[in-house]
Amino acid sequence: MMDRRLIENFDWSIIWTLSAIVCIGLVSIYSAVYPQIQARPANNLFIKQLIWLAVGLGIMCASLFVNYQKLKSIGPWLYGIIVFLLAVVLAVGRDVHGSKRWLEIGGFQFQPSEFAKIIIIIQLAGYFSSQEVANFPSIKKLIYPLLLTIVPVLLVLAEPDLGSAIALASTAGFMILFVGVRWRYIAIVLLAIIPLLLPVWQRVLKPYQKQRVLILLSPDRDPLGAGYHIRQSKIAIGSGMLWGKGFLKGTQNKLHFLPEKQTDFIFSVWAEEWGFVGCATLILLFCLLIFLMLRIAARSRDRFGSLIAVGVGGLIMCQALINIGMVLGLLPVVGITLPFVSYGGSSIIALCLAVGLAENVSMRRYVFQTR
Amino acid sequence: MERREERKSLNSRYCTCRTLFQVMVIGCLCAIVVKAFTIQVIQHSLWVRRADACLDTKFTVPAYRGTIYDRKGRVLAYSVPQCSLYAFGTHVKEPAKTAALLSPILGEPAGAIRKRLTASNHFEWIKRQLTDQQAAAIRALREPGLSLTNEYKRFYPYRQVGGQVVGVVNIDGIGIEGVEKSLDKVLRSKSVPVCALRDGGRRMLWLSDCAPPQPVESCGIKLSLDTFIQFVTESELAKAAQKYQAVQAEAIVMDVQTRQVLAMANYPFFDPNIIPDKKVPGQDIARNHCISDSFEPGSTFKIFLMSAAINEGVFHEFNSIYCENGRCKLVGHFIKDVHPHGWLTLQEILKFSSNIGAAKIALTLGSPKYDSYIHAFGFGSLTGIDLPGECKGLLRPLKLWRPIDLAVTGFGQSIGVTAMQLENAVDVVASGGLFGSPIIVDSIIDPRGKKSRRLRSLDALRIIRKTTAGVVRDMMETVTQPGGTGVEAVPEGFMVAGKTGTAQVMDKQTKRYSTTNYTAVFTGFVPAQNPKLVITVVVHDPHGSIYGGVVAGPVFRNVAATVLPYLGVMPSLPGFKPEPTLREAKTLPKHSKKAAFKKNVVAKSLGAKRKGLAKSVPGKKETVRRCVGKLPPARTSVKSEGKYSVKCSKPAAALY
Repeated sequence: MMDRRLIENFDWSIIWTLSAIVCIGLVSIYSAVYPQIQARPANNLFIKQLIWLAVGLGIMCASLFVNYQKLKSIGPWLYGIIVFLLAVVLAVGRDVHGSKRWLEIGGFQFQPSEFAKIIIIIQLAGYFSSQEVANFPSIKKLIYPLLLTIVPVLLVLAEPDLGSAIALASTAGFMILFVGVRWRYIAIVLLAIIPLLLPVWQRVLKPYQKQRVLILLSPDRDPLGAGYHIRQSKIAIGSGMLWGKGFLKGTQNKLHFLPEKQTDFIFSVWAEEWGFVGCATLILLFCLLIFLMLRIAARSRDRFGSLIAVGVGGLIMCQALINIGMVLGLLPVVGITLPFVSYGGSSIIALCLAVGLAENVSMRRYVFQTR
Repeated sequence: MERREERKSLNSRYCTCRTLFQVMVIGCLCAIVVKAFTIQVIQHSLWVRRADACLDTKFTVPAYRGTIYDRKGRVLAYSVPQCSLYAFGTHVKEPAKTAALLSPILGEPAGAIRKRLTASNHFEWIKRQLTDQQAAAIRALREPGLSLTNEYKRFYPYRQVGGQVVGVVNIDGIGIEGVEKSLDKVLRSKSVPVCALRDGGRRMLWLSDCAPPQPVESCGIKLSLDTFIQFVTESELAKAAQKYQAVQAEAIVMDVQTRQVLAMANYPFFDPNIIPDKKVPGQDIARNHCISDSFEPGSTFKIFLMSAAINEGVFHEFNSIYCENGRCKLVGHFIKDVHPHGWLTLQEILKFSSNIGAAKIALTLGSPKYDSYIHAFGFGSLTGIDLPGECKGLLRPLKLWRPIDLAVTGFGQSIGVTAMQLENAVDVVASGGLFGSPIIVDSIIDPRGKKSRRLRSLDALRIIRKTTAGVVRDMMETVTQPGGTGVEAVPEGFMVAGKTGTAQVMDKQTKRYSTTNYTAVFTGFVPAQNPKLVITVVVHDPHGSIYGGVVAGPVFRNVAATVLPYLGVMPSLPGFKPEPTLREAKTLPKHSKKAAFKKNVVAKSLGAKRKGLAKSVPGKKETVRRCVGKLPPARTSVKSEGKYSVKCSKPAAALY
């Protein structure tokens, strides 16, 4: 059943790059949860992460057998399901630290918002690749994709999960930009944002969010309160210096100074133990991965596949940029994970699925000519 | 052609959009790399320093409160480790069940415990200072949210003995009364700072090769108090106070030469093991009335009038003064004597305690001189004893003295003094004219048991000439001789120099002297010629008898009779035969007062260079040894006398 050409066109470089990132992630997570493992060996998050990776890899391989073209037809169904699930989460989700992000099905918990990202990519790719939408669509043609994006974004915001909402919106924005937007639209959007800034600051943002923005402007503000996270993160990163402190030797991580260390602040763990060299390596690997995605997009046989690859690349890039920017103190603190590095089952599986999609596009780039 | 144009423009648009897109992505990536480089490489020293600041902490080794000893090393107060129970509100799963389990152990109703368990989401004391059995029972419960911590409870093994002097600490171990308060800093000192590591939860980290330091004891304090003397004084005071239904009574026993307070008793007594509740009224029994309450000293003040008058040369002891047969009008007011007398010598005025005589002497002496002497004897200022809450007493400023004030101050009215001030002033006469601060804290003892600091005043000020002191002492001696007011104060076999006082008390409502309330005072020193102890007894509001000689005198007598032999001072009057001990029965010749006095002098002069003399004069060796052996206090007194450096500051010199 498997065509020989399918295997020939398989993009191994993506797999290698991904493996490298995953390995860095595993090393970081082991380091982050090391004290926890020693204290309570029963609750070993490292093993759990390994299992999730295995599951993710399995799903990725399985997804390769399905031609991505079929997604075009079932896309709307998937979209309906995910919107429904996001609504369900709001109703019956498990409340963790004041936000409802988790849905429990048969003993497993998962975050629908992670899967919403892929489905948005598929839907937008489907819409932009349809016949009636050309490059540089007019404002009328842009209303539909904007609505398509805004519904899940608002649902995710209501959880509340600002990080995922930003990732969703920026991935969509990335795709729209890739399709091409007229200059005047960009200018209008930018001009519209400026007068909105003040009311948003006064009405929409919660006090803690304002604090986070203020801390960005003056980093030494409130080091034990609102500024604690970012200060500790910078201390961990900065004390890693050029070469790092060495594996399992990060004091800020091991002695519980670093908050949320296996999820949002995993980059700090890596940076503390491996220094600037490690940081640069990880950032370069992400660049490479995104470059490979864009290469797939360029080589893709049709617009749909190309847009999917761009969407996947954009998703990974947005998350990575926002996460690392936040951890380094360039952006305000939001809860967003570092793809393939942070701990988390839903995130890993969703991202594996996304990379699987891109690989799918790469494999099937010449298929239509033979059949 | 058109199409191509359109395509071209489309392409150029596409390119610009692409460029923007690429610039954004690359810009973001560069920003991140540059930022990482800045933090990790350029500014690394700053962040490394901040990381170290997070980790390193100064940890002070916990120190528990030091021990308080008496002068013989008996423990008056010490700290015992005891567990305290606290709850962490959010961790208590079932407050009702936990409270029910705790109720029988703590012996408290479950409802009250439950209330405390649910009082807050955080730390909450449930019960502090549990017994060991309670702690063990609670540990066995293993209830979630409950925790035990080690605290130190203050324990006072002698209970009420010296309770007000030793003082008390509150539940947090901070002194709130007595020496516990005045030397709180010393008792709580000795915290050793140690460098330590801590983690993000501010928990200390101790490496396996470096165990956490154990709590150490802070500096201790050695008091000058003697528990035995204190106990004797307290029991005698209690007897008198109960016999005469007094509300309150005080007594102080002090060593004449060293001015060390040997006993300071306050009736009613106070057991510091029970922390006084400030909300309950009338709970000021923890207060030390000896230093914090002032009263009118009455006739006892005549001692200082006499000292002033004789030292100034205004009168001699044998000058006679007409005492108007018990009633006369002086400076517009009537002054009465209890017993009417005619012409009396100064000595007799003191002996019979004539108010008229005293008033006349005061009027002759004049207020400026009298006032300066009153100040010189320490009235109107703090004695400087290491105890909290001392009051200065009440003294009218010199400018406001009316003639009647001068007259009545002569016999101790219109002036307020504390028992400690009176005691210290009498000590001036007893010690031959030297004034110094009384001492309650002998030394500070560091945790290794060494005396680290001696607290004693080395400076003594000469107030009156030695001869004056001798004259006044002789006059005071007549008070306790037959016919005087203080006969009941004499213990068998001793001579006492003292003075009685029966002071009227100002009624707070009518602002006049009450006809029913009196203060009975006796103050004096013993043995009269070679004083060892100064004792002051004050009984407030006695019923049945009001006279200082009758009410307070016996307390003086009984305390002196028990304490003097305890200190090695044996009765030495002619005609008094103590029951001989086995050792002394053979060797001791009969004593006469004269011989005893002579020996004392010899002992003193030898004491200064005892070693050399004892060897070089073989004939006197036996005598010397016997005398020294008989007079252990002589040794101390000589030594301390040697240490007193007599200083004459300007006002004192003016007093001669």
